[in-house]
Amino acid sequence: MSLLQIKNLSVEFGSEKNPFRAVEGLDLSVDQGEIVGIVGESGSGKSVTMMAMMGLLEGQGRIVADELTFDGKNLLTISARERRKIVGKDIAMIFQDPMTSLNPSYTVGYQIMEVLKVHQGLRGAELKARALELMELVEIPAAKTRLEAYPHQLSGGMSQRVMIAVALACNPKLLIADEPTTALDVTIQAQIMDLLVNLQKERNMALLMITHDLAVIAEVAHRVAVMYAGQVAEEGTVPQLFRHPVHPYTQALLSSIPEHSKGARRLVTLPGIVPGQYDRPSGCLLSPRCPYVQERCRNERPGITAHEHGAVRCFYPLFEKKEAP
Amino acid sequence: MTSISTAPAAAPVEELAAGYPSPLKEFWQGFSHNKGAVAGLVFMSIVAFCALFAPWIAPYDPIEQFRDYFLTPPAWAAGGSSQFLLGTDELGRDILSRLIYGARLSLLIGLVSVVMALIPGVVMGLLASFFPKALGTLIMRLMDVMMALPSLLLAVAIMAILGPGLVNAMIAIAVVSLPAYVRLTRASAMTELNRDYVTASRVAGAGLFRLMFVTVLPNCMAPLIVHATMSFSSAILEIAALGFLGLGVQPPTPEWGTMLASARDYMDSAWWVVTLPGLTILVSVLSINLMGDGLRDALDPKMKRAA
Repeated sequence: MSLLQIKNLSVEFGSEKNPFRAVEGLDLSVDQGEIVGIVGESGSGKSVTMMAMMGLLEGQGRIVADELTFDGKNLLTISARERRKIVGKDIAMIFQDPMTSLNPSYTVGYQIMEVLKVHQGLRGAELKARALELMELVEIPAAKTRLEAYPHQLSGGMSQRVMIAVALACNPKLLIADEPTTALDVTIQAQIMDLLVNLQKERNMALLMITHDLAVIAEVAHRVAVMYAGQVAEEGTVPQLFRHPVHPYTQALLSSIPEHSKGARRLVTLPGIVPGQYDRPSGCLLSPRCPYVQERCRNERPGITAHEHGAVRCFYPLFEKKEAP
Repeated sequence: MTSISTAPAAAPVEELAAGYPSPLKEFWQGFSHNKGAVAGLVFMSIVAFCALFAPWIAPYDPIEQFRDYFLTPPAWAAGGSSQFLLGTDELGRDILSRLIYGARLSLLIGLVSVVMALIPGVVMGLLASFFPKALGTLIMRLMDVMMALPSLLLAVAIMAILGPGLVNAMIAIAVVSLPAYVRLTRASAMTELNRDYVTASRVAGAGLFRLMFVTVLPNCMAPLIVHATMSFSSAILEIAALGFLGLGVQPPTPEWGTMLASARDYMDSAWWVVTLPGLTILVSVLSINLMGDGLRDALDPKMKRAA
């Protein structure tokens, strides 16, 4: 059984009469020791999905799902108190901007020790030793001195390492990384990704990576889900999906990578933008932008269908290689 | 597009022998940069010292009347006597002693009314920011109503209900300054609530109480401390105003505003009786405001976070 199982999850914002569906009919499963990537443009619902799963949307969004279980526990019916126990201990999260994800009022050491104190009940010397151990685990030089540092005294990469240390403090079963390298420069990105992947292997955690950097996914993930306008457009195993994308959106995403346009004067782009709250088409959400659009796509919404290597939400998946007209 | 197959995490070897400067040291560096603030701090320390050790510093009992020395001018003026450095008032009481004892009351009133406004103000402000829908709207509209009334008028109205006296005056001043704290706390808590570390804290399983007071509140403290300093000085002014109107501290208790009020009739004949308490209020309030400026420089989050 999967560690995390999401079936038909929808998240709605706004009034009951005129709701905005930020996430619609999302299926996702993550196994232990697996790295799953979620890619998509800004506003495609990647982060909202994670927030909904962890119960962070209370009072803001309405969450409906057929199934939402973590480690055999139903996150939909669980009490807030119970969920806090699971979410803090077995699910941890790393955020996009390390400069704002640490509390500026407390030292780095205090923030690591706080988690250890609450969730593991450590005290005194044991607590301090464990905090130091975690700081060394994430390869922070001069860890002992840095325990006393405030977040504003650390660089972005260093802060992100601290965030990882905080996240790993309780040996989580699932680590969610929400664009963990977006705010960092390229060399630091590489270091942080290496660190994350090494730690994931060492501890056999599940790692759920949200990003819009396709290279990161191609490099590290086992499976990937491509999201578009709140829906999973295509899901598949990593080398397969990157080699033979069957959804027109995935194909467009991949062909817009600059490396694929070498020699050409202009980069390949997908015209248009993700439809917003008021301009959702009645048919397939991609239909206004899709180069292969048919009459049926404009009138009906496709469901997600499984195939040999994954699943795709398209009436006319590109199983044979076609050139865009 | 980035490639992530580059070098392993070759962390630079660095020595941090000296460690990080303590926050207190950093604060003092920012504060001492502002000379006016340091001057204000020095003056207020002297006032606080006088207030604490008034019985040992003051030359006389503040309510003792010297029948032979009504309205003696200060020592340096014509007709002054070195026995009474700042002269005596209309009842023959030593003005210096009364000012020193008066500092006790003024500081006490300032402190108590600030604390009485700060604590409920912070709690209400945090509640308003955490529950912006029903509770927040209720609290903020209530504060709007309070802010629509002129502050002295509101204070006088509260005093009229509660009756004159020291404790009631402090309550009145605290109530009047409450809306500013609520608004300030709510505004800065709202900004902080959108930051990732609050979400991170929720992910880590923090409860509501912990989120409010441990996670968010310390980050809202800088503007609150500055405002508390400023409202400390306005509390001194307001208690003086209430004393002047006869609603605050009752004679013969020495208090700066009351001293001003009772000296009103001698403004023409004996300038020192009204000038000296007036000057004391002026310089104290100025010092506190200068200190507030220095605090703002030292605690400004924008300057602090630009590491």
